[in-house]
Amino acid sequence: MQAPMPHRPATDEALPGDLAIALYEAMARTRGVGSVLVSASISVSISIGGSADAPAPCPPPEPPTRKQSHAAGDEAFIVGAAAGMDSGDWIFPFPYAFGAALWRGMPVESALRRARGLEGPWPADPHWKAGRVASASLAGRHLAHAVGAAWGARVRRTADAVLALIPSDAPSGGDFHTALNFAGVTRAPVVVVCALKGVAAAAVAYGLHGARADGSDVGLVLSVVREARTRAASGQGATLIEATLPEDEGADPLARMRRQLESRALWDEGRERQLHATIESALASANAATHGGGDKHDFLDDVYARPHAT
Amino acid sequence: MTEMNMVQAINDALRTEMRRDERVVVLGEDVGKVGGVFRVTQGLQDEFGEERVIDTPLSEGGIVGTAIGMALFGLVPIPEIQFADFIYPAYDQIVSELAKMRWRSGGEYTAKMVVRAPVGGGIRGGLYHSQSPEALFIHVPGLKVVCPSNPSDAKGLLLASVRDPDPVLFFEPKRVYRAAKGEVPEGDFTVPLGKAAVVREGGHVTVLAWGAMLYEAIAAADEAAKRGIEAEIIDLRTLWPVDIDTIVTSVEKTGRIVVVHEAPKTCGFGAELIALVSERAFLRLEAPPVRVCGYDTPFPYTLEMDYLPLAGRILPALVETASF
Repeated sequence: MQAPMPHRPATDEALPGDLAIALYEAMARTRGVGSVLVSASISVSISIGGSADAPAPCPPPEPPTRKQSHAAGDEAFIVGAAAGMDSGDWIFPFPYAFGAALWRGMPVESALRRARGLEGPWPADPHWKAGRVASASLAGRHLAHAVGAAWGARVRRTADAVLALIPSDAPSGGDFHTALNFAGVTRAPVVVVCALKGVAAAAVAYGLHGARADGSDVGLVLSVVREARTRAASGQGATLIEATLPEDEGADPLARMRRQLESRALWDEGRERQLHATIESALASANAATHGGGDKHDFLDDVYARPHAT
Repeated sequence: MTEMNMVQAINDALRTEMRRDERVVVLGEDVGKVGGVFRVTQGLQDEFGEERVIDTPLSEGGIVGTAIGMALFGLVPIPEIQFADFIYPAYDQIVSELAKMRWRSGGEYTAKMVVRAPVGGGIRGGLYHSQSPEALFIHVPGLKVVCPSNPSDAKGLLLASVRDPDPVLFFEPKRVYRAAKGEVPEGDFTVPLGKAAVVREGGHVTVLAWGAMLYEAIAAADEAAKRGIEAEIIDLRTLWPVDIDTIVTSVEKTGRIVVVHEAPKTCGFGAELIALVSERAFLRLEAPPVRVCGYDTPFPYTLEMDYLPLAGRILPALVETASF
């Protein structure tokens, strides 16, 4: 058992150029989708499941600022953590951590179409994400699944590790305690990243490693998660990582990363405009879609492997 | 064939499947070194090791929740809940996650597993060791529910459940864990899910029962036979999906139906069974359907034999229904 690691401040360490750009673009896509979902939530145009006959268009996206996006400010924590894992690792995100799926390759159009119920899996569970990225609808229920999958890796003696992304409200529920207790007892190769300030201190109680990272620094989150993954996969147990934003209201992960890219001459205003044009075009395309939503009988499928009549 | 009780038969099934399929793991409270609170898993950890027969922390939600993750990863978990009365902390994981995994992923992912739990009264277990919650799970789309009544069925149904592509709640009637003995096939065999067994033929009244109450139904039918009433008794074996064809065929013959179960009467599975029969054979009924059940009360400790629908309560129902 180890005490929580000291807080690791942002370092703006230089990432490889291609990776740095990819992370920034994924964070921008995350904010773009989130901004539409926030607007849609406010106007109640998105409902769980959507509608096959008359899918409600989402309001046009507002300029994507940190406060106007689902997962706003969490982009670095979500994308950085996903990027810190191996590409075949399971990821168990919380519902609005769709950035993990975007990092894994889910198109922006798909994220919004799923949220509107226009794209499968039918009958459109908007919480479900791309392959090997599986969320639950409650804040912490999926943490046990992550621990179980990691435990499975241990039982099968594979080199896999598992990532769980946990929102700041999850530690208030019993699922959080239960799953971390199992993680500690089984030494399952799981990396848990949580956005609640102070949560890393709890790691000691569960026999886990603890770590902290500045949640506005995507490169730092990636680095801390990668270290934790290595430790987990080598049989040294799970790590609970606290990734929170600094108190400073201006600590915007995207602005920070953009400054870093521009200082390295990897980014400029032209590329910025091009990125946003691409994202907005994808969002507009998905928003304009009026078809999809599955067949009206689709919800009868997949309840069981084979239907049975009663 | 070997004579076994139900505990031995279930243990034999687990051992058989764990030898056959290395993905199968057993997990739960004290299932390893101790061999389970009823010793159903005794000796398994010695043969298969601590990584396949896993003693877990005391948390039913954690047991099922982590088993879901294991299943997603490709294992075939068989979690044990010590008593079905303790399953409620895992109800959220079972209902909200386990039952819906296939559906919400459009068939991409499944979390197939068998959740084993002893059910029912008759062992002086009192309020928290005697309940029969099958209806709570039958009500949830995506789950299958099994309750064997004898050792041979217990082994065959458990092996079929582990190989089934859907999650199964496997309820074991603890009152007959050791009392029910019989010949059990050795090695690998299955009893198909969804198939009831007509255990006694008769033309006057159909009786539906399962688990420990099957023996009470048989005892009541023995007495009824002395009065000239021939009861046809159906052991449902799989509660969901229920073998409605076998039930309706019988009711069309007898025109009368009595359902026996330990759980409280209101919204118990008996209500659904009678509704299903009424939808299919209403005009063939010659008497009102009857339920002989537990009372709509918590399960009483000292008065459990008054609570349970034993033969003494079933017999009048058979007589009344047959003579209506």
